[in-house]
Amino acid sequence: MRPLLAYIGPGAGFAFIGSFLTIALSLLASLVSICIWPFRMLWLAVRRKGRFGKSGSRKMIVLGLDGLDPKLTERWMAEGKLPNLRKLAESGYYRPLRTTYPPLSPVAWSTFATGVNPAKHNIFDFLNRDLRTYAPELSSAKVRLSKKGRPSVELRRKSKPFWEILGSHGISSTVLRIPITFPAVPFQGRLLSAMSTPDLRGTQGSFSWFTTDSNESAVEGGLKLPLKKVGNSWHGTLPGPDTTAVTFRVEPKWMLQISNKTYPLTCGEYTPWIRLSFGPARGIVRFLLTQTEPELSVYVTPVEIDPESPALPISHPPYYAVYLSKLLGTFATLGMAEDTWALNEGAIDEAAFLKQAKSIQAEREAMFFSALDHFRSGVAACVFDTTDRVQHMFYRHMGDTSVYSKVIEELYCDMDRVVGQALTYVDKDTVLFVLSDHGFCSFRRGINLNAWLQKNGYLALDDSRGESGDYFDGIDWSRTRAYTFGLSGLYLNLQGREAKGIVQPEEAAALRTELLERLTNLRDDADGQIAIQGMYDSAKIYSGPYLDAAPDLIVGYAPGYRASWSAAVGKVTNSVFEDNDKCWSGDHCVDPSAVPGVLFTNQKWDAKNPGIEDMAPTILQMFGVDPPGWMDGRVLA
Amino acid sequence: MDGRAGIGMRAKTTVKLNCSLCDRAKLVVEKAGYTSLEEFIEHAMERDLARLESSDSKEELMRKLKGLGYLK
Repeated sequence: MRPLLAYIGPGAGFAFIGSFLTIALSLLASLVSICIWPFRMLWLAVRRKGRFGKSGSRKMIVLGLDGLDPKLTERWMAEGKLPNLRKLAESGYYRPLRTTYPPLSPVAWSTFATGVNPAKHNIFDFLNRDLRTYAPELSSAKVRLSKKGRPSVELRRKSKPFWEILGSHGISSTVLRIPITFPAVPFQGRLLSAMSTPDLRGTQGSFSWFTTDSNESAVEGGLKLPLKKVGNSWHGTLPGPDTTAVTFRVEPKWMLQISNKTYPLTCGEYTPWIRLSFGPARGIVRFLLTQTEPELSVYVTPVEIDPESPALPISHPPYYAVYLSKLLGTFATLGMAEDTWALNEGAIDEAAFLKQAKSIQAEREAMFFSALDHFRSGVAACVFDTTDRVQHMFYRHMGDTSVYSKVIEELYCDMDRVVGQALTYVDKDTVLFVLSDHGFCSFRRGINLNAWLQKNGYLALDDSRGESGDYFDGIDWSRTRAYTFGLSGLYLNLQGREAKGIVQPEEAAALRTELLERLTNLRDDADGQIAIQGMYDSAKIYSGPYLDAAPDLIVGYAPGYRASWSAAVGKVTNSVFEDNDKCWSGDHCVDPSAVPGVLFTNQKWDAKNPGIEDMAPTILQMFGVDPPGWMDGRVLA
Repeated sequence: MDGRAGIGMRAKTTVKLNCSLCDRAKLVVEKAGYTSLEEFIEHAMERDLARLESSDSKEELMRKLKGLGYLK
């Protein structure tokens, strides 16, 4: 046998046939699609029959401004600073919008989307608890790993959002950044997820703070990491998911070297989004040089999911995030992307926080107005949450003499500009809604209700301890009848529900009433002010199949007060009241009557006392779709 | 069951159930506040699974909450 001088393996042949098959199948799919197009259009017309005709509405724009407060809005409208909102109120309709119990964004936007009370959509707070361990969990989404190690994401918000119902009637929606839409669920339309979307590390957004300062104090909400001098440059290691990491160097003249690319660093200026690979996952970050002397300090945003190669389902269809990224450039994907903890902890200053918030706002405006540019019928909805984050961080400056005293006023004026731009897309067939989920007030004092429960004999600690650790570390459950964690709920330690419950079910109603009466009008021991203005029995304010998961009582803190930072993480402290000295100085986790949202529309309405649960049935009715019987809201007119 | 599958999401499956049981359930689904029979059945399964499945560690759950602005 003659020796072979050359050999052509099967690879090239397979590659050719594989490519040929792909092209052939694509052509076939296109041909089938073209052939059935008339039938698809006919079917769509049948499904839509009468929908637009009944109401005359073909297009609806929903502009959500998270946390826009009616008192501030009315004041600045009256002063002529919000001309577009004022015009809308004068020519259409404006009222404060009743919010949910409790007035938290995940709860309120879930009610907005579904038209039901929390006991039907299952979102009562940012947190839920594992009844076997009392451990906290994010209430809205759960990421699990399958046996094969692949992530599987579960949306815990129940019921059905209006855009899914409209889709089943052939009416398409574009849904941008409405909270509690992660993971994105298929429906007829396009959706980009928002609040509760994690970063690539699986957290709700943990920043990295690199410094040459050897004082290694821990920081909340992020990681403080070393920058090591090697020769005449500084080296850092940016952690990613699991054990992955990416190294970088800061070289002389403040040049950042990372992933074989170079970016100039300027103090106070963010780099563009930088795409990084952490094993198979891709993330995006921005660097900010915050200080060069006496120590070098570099802030890095949380490692966010790259929208161009999303590791988790952040959009529907899955390519929608990729499309937006290719069309408009990379954008922040994290649920709460404005880095409030970095400002609280001093990793960035006020100016850097505002710059970040404005940049994120610009990304979202580009998405929203691009959607409106291509908008022909159905719903285009977008929630902007810069309003919420900036008010949280700058409320302490309202009325002071600092350079930040007008930040919130300027923010409202800027949102009025966005409303004005949205109005240019409104014609006679277009309905416009501008709304917020809640208002705002100051957060001056924190209340640790676990401490109050302990002092009043409802909660017990292990004998040797004066305070508990976070999340009930050190609680004696065999002597505890009630506890709190999260932002507004109080729970009984109920036998048959909680793993170590001791309250008999037949005693529960009496205990709820007792706590409700004792805590209503609780006064601050420092100055005698009322700190809790209302307590609400969840069995009386909610109805629905998920009532068992609700807190037993909802706490209505008075404006100026909120669950303390320690109570929110299930800690028992020595004192019931404490000052809030963080930059996070505005809040809305109070009695719902104190913080309604706003509702503007270009429709002439007479509706009195509108509630956020009324929005979904109203939107359905405007497209000629009867609201389903499970919805709690009414149709506004 | 309505499709809720996506990247990383669990695809839906079909389960055969006793028809008379489903007929009884259909009568109460909307009155109870569910949107569909599927939601009703999933809720029943989730309640039992929460009792039977193993829990994530407290440290892992706390790690996932890191960075949420409302909590320290």
